[in-house]
Amino acid sequence: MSESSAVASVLVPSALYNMQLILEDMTGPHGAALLGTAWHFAALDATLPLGECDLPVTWERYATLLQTLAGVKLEHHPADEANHAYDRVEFGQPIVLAVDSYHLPYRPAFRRVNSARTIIVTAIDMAAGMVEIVDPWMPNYRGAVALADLDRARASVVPSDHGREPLYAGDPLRRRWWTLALLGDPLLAHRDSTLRALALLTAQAEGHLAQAATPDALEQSRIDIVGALAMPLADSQSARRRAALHLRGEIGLRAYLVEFFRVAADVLDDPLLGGEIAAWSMQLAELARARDVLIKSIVFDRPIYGEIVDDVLVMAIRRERRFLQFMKEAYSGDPAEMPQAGSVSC
Amino acid sequence: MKTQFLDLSAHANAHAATFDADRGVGFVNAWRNSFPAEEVPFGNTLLLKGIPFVLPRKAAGAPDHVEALGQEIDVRPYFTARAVGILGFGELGDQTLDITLTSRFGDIRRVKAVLPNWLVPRDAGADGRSWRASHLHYGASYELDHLQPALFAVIAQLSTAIQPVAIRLGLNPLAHVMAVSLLSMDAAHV
Repeated sequence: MSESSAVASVLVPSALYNMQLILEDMTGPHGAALLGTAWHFAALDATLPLGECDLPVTWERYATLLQTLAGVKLEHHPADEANHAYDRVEFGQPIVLAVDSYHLPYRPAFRRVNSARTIIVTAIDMAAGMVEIVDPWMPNYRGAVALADLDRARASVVPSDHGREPLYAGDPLRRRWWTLALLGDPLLAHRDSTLRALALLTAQAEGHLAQAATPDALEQSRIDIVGALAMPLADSQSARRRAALHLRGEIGLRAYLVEFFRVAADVLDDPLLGGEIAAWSMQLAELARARDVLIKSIVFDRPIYGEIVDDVLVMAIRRERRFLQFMKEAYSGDPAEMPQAGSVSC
Repeated sequence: MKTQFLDLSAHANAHAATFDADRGVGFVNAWRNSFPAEEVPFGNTLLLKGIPFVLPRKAAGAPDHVEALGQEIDVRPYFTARAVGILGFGELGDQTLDITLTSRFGDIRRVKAVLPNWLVPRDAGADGRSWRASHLHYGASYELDHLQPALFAVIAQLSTAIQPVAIRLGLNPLAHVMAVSLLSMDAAHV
């Protein structure tokens, strides 16, 4: 499993980053772009699960988009009572596992802090009771772990403890796991299918494919987030945490979407698209500023934080409206006519 | 090279360091991490990258530095500055800090300083621009040394010299400033 830098500078959900590492091993440096198949933004929804291992879009929905645009089959298993995940590793398939670092002896906070994230398992020796893993979470680690420790880490409820882990605790893991397989060429492999991929993404963002229009959802999120920051910390700590995790997930999806668009602009040799992507993608830094101030606001309460977050989200929404308008004018199409990845002959 | 040290004590609004006996009293981030106050050279001069910085004195439980929230710092006496030295660090990654200097005649110079992430892996090589503690404090009264907290000297070159009467820090709660030194020489000559 190689090191990756394509989206390394952006704090993204660890499951996505680990999938990037696996895809880059399979396909080379464009692996990050393949994950950029969701032009998505959802309004905050208090009824949906949202921990370190969740996205603002359901994994099932994301898997459908991955298969349609990238030719990648993503399996998300919300539980694993029969240890099917280990069967896959024995067949040579790397898997992503949700774990609680409290139970992993190589983590600095071993037996001190319950904190959820994901790791990659690359090999297993059932007889010896050992697995080989890759954990890119700083300080990163690759090496052996006892299966018994891993099983405890997978089964953890990750008890909530705001004092020690304000963000990534409080959501049971239930032995969740993920794996990826390549089914065919991505739409980015050909000029014509790249055009269709851009039309499909644009249709997503416009709100045609079972999701809200992204600028509207961003605007609603801005109102909700600023509202939470206007409330006393004691009454809004949970909402602030949820908003930070929500933004973190959306930023993760967008970081890969930016990679997808950049590759598309190269395939189409379209410098105008490249310029618009450069201007639009500056919103990643704005959304990241909002996310990071929200994280800070979980324990620090300063009225000015709300103003800062409001300002950067207004800029991000402005960029979203402009880029979506450009894409509607340049690359819209009928999503019903879109082929799936792998259906275009070479 | 002449240096003018700015007094930030009136603007201190955040905690960077805690003593072993009171690790939960103040912290930098949401994970309640802090520098070990016993190691930080509070009340002394720290020389990094050829630039001297004067750190404030540290009192247990009291703010010891500035979280950048738009503070305006008076500059007395007048001093001709060609560069600004910042001793600070970024929280949750590298952080950009806008700095605005204003002269008594209303002239303005604007510069940016990028403050590197404060948590450095233990095995990272040393450099001449940072000071690093041996371990990181956690609010739940323990310490680890896999990540070590660091202070960085960053020099922001001004387009032309100015005699500022005030320096305004930008609005970035993730940018932390421990000390500011005005420099009479260009950054290239430091």
